[in-house]
Amino acid sequence: MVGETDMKEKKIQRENITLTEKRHENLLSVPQYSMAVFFFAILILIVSAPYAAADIGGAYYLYNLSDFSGSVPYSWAGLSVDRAQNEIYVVYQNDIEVFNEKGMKIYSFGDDENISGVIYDVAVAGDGSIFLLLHADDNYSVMRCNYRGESVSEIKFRNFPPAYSRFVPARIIYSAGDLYLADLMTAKKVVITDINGNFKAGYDINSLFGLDEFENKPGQEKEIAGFSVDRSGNMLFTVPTISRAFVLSADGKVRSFGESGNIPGKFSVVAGIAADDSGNIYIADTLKSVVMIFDKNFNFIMEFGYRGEMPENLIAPRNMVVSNGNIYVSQARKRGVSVYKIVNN
Amino acid sequence: MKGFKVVLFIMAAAIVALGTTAAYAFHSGGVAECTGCHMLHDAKSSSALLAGTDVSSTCINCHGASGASSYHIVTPDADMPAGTPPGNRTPGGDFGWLKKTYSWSPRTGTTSTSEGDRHGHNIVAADFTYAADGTNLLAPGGDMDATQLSCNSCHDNHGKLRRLSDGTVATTGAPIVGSGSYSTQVLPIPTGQAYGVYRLLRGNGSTAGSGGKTFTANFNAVVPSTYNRSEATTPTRVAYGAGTSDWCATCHPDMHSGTSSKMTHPINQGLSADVVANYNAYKGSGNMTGTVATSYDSLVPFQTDNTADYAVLKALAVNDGTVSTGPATSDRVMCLSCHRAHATGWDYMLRSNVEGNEFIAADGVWPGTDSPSTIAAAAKYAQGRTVAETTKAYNDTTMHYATYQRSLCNKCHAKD
Repeated sequence: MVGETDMKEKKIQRENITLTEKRHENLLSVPQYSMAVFFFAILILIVSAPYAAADIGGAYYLYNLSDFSGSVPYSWAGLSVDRAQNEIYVVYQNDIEVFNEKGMKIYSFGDDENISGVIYDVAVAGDGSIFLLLHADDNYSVMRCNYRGESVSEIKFRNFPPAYSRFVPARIIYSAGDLYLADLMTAKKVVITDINGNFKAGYDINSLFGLDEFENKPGQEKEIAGFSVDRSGNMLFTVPTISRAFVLSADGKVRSFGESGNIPGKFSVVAGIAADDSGNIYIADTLKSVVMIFDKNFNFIMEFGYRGEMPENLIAPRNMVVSNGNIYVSQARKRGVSVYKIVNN
Repeated sequence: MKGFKVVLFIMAAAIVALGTTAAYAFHSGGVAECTGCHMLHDAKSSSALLAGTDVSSTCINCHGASGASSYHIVTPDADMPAGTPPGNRTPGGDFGWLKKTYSWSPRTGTTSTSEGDRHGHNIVAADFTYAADGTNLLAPGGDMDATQLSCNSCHDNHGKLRRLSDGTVATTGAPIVGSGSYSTQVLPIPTGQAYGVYRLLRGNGSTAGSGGKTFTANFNAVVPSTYNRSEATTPTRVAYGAGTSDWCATCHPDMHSGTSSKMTHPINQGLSADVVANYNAYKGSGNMTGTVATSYDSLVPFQTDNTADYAVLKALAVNDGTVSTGPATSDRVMCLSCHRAHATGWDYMLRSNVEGNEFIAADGVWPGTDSPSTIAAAAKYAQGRTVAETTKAYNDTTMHYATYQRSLCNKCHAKD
């Protein structure tokens, strides 16, 4: 009985304390309230600073990918990156040319007699394995090569569902132990396999992005121009004819942004897309001849490049990769691949 | 009040619907999205606020992407190294052939060359290193300055020309609501609406494009909805109608038998009974066992009568082989019976090789430097091209002619 009385008293005391605290909260003076709001705002700014639009301060031109005779005059070369070695792989006319982080050509391959067909794309795994995506007679294959570009074995793809029978990928990307194969034009599907070719997941982009309603409307084809995979496994796409960029997470969730227009941040003819480690998104616009930067919430930050003849300008940029704080942009008019440094505030 | 809300809802729905349509149809059968081609500020081209160095460069920004698909008509340099053909197989052909020059030695001590700029219309597109024709400074059979040749010499990139519901073609009138190019178009055209003309081609009433030529003829045709495809199993049959050859004669008047004083191959004339009989019977050199029901060959197409009836044309435009009928005497020979409009793998932008040193196919296969057949790999047959290039130059058509096949001129003339 005694115990029950003590408990009631303690409960009353706790309620009084709580009420007192609430009263105290409600009794903040105007200056105190203002100070609280001020510090709360500062706190929010500090917490969100790494992700805010102001994080990226700009991008300045460094150099073009070069060999000992100068800038290599590619037009719309394909690009891939070896994040582990910070090396850039350029796909051009059935050759793979490798550049170090200083932009100098250090190696090339592609003439292995076992490599038959046109080299469409290349992906590099962390262990140095190189995967070549090859096309021949409307068929595709993937050849695994060693770190010297010597063929090792053809990947045997297994367990593809029937829905992926017409699948002809134009891009291959290695990320976190998996291969991402993307058919950007015909079937518009992405398949993820392990590095031995075993099917792990498939995504019907037409359906997920709502593009399929146009599939039977010639002249309104919605081809995918840009494709990449970020460090978190999100897949990024651009669809130029609807002026839209999409981010597809591994669980199938789709987010998108963009609208047509000429002013900074709007899309004219968008192409390559990539993301940095902070989640900022870079999009090349072939028509505007710029690279636009958006934060991970799709807020426009800035754009750079612009059409012109100066080294820092761009002419019809198309493919793009981001690595170690650098942006690599391939252009038309034999202007090669320009390299820019991302500058944070 | 309730009625007002309903009206508001309907208006909002309409705005959303119209907005969506506009956003999803880039060319919309007519004019494209303005900001798809023009930069309203900071444009660096010489005129028109174009974001390319020139008109054709602006077009290729979209139409020159990698890979064979739908509206692509220029394979990027990166994707066609030596020995690899351009990838697109549209009826007009891939401009990438302009960058393919072949040399070979047909016999000891001699060299033959098939220059790239002889393979098609040499559009000027500086951003993609397409230069003016180095041989023909003027349009063959005409006087147009070759340095002015651009996509918009032939296509009206603003696409004002339209087919109205009464069948007439005009630059004004009902709004364009869709493409008039494809076999999927719904006919008749609803009253109060219009379709764009075939491939946004210039026509009677269009303003002059680059080069300054004004078209008086309209180009009538319908293409299957899937057209950039392999023809290995079935042909892509474009139904050509009235006006096709007169349209070409705008820039090439002296190449047209109707306007030239020179001896030139008949154009826009009905096929003779002999030619019709040859076409329908011809299956290959020496093989005249074909029938009219299955004789159509997309490497030797013909104009259907002189019709601008799109219901007729639409019914013929297939890619599944369901309409394989050959010509009648009411049908006509046209420029495109022998040529493609953009470019091909052969000299004079011909659909097939006419300089085949006797045979365009040998030992039962398309020739090529890398052919396993030593006969088909002979230089005089391969002509510097790989098997892949030869095959692609025929839009991947399976070699179904004679084991030793002569020129496809014989499809009409049967001299072999």
